[in-house]
Amino acid sequence: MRHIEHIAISVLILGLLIGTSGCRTAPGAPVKDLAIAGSTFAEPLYVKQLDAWYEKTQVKGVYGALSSSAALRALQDRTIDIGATDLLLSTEEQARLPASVLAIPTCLGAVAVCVNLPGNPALRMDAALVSAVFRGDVKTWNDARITALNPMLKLPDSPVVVIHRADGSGTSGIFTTYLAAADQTWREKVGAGQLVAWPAGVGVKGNAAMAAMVRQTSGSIGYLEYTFAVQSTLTCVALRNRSGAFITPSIDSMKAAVPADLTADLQGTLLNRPGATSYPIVSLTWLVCYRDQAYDGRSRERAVAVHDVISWLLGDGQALAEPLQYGSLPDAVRTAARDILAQLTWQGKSVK
Amino acid sequence: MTARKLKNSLMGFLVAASAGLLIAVLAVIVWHIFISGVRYLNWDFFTKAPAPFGESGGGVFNAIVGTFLITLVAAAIGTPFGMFAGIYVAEHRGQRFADIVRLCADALQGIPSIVIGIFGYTFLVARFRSYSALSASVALAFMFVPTTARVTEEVLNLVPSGLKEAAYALGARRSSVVWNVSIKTAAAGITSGLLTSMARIAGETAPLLFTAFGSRYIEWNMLRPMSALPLQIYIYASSPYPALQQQAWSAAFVLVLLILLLQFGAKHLIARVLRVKA
Repeated sequence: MRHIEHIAISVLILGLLIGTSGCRTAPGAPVKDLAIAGSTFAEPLYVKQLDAWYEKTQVKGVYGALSSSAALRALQDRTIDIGATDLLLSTEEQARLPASVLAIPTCLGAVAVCVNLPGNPALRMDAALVSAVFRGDVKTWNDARITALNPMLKLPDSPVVVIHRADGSGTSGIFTTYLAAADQTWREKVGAGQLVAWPAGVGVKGNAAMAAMVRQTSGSIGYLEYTFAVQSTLTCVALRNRSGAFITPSIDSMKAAVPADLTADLQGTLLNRPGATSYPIVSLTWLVCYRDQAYDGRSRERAVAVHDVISWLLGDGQALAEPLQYGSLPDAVRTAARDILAQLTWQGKSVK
Repeated sequence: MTARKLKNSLMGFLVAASAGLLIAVLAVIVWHIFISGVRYLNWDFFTKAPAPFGESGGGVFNAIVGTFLITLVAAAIGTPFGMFAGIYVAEHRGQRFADIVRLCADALQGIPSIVIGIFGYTFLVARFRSYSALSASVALAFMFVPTTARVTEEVLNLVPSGLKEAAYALGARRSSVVWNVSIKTAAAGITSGLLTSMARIAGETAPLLFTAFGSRYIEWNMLRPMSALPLQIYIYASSPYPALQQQAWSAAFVLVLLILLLQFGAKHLIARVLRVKA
């Protein structure tokens, strides 16, 4: 019996030792790992950038593509160093966090509306039509509202299969915010949010599943992050922007949507911007971290590591955006982003 | 008479068809994973970490390391608790507290793994402010303990009481009987139970999503985020890049192979135990 007691006690002590030794690095020790989590929208870019950062500094930046809303939760629990979100935190969301945070934009992305129709016609739509389609109002592809905008195309009388996201998603948030802003019926009947009550269609989880579903389903229409549309070679719809031009998503049309006079706090939406070449569903994506990094006894080295990686993402890291179909930050936005990052402190003192 | 015959042949057909279906389902899954996965298998796949994003090649060595470390540490944490609990229940057969322990083990076994994951997140990850492989191991240990306890108990119950009585008659102490007679006799059976439990937790994804977090780098430190095969499959399968989706199939193939091997090993050991008994 004594045997068993000995083993049990040793296991307990071992467990306690491992448990209390803490998972954070001690002060002065170099930081070799950072945990970043959130947006699936920008995942390919962040992963690519963090890979390059690892090559350069040997710091393992681990990215967890949970979702924008999960990033907020993890930030609240302080289990990650940096959160990634597609939508700027609302005042209520900020209030739920224990301390003030900084939101730093890192790149531009677009939400593409993609269709699967025989012959891949170059379809044109406006916000009212997209709203009607996603509300289930338009039943067939040769509906008068579609043909009115596409007089040159011969569209089949097959049913329209609407596909939407069933999970809480930043992509849905951007898409529905655009529709609610641009179409009154959508605003009244559905509204905007990461998770809305979809009036019609089939739900899927994640951008990748959306791409696969649209690819497999003839007569389908869905919305997804532009990178996913490109990688799956889906046909993107040209959307009418506020100036009346029909624009397909591209890096140029994303960048065209950023106004030159975007204010320094980067408030204000990039959705439905006027301009001859601006795509209407464009969004910045953000990294979020606590303004003062000295919480939970975190070391100054960790604060510096957080600062350095974000600083690099805003600098050399930007070059990696466009090969992956994200828009790099225009200079004005980048300067504003650097100003925000400069507010990062550790025990009240600036980190850099 | 004909009605009875008809009933007989109908039921016979249904039973045989269901049995056949069972084999067919397994065959279809294994075959599909084999066909989809084996094409992209190569040496790099087993020995290299994922290639930088967008570049071809690379492997899942990080996830293989992770699966082994996380599963082994979970087993190391869970084995003593599970085995001792099993020994307790077997040695106190019929007692009220032993029955309660058995009931609790069964209840714990029935808890969905996603709940174990949330538990691990709340009490380990959120408590220590960090995702880590160790928290994943502890979460998996919660799934490992009840299965191990039940298997240990059942195998110990198979030890003939005459054998134990003989030991007692020779004047052996209880600790000596438990250790030298019961456990020695049942060792192969207990090991097989441990392997089955390990096979079970090696394929779990839900607890890892909340605890291990995943990592694209080869990581040996249990206090850091780490990848594992099920997690990597989940992430790759939902990636926009066809190359990664293909790697997800290959990783699935490796995982299934690993689990089938563990289970085969367990079966083999069980067979040996039964032979010894007979």
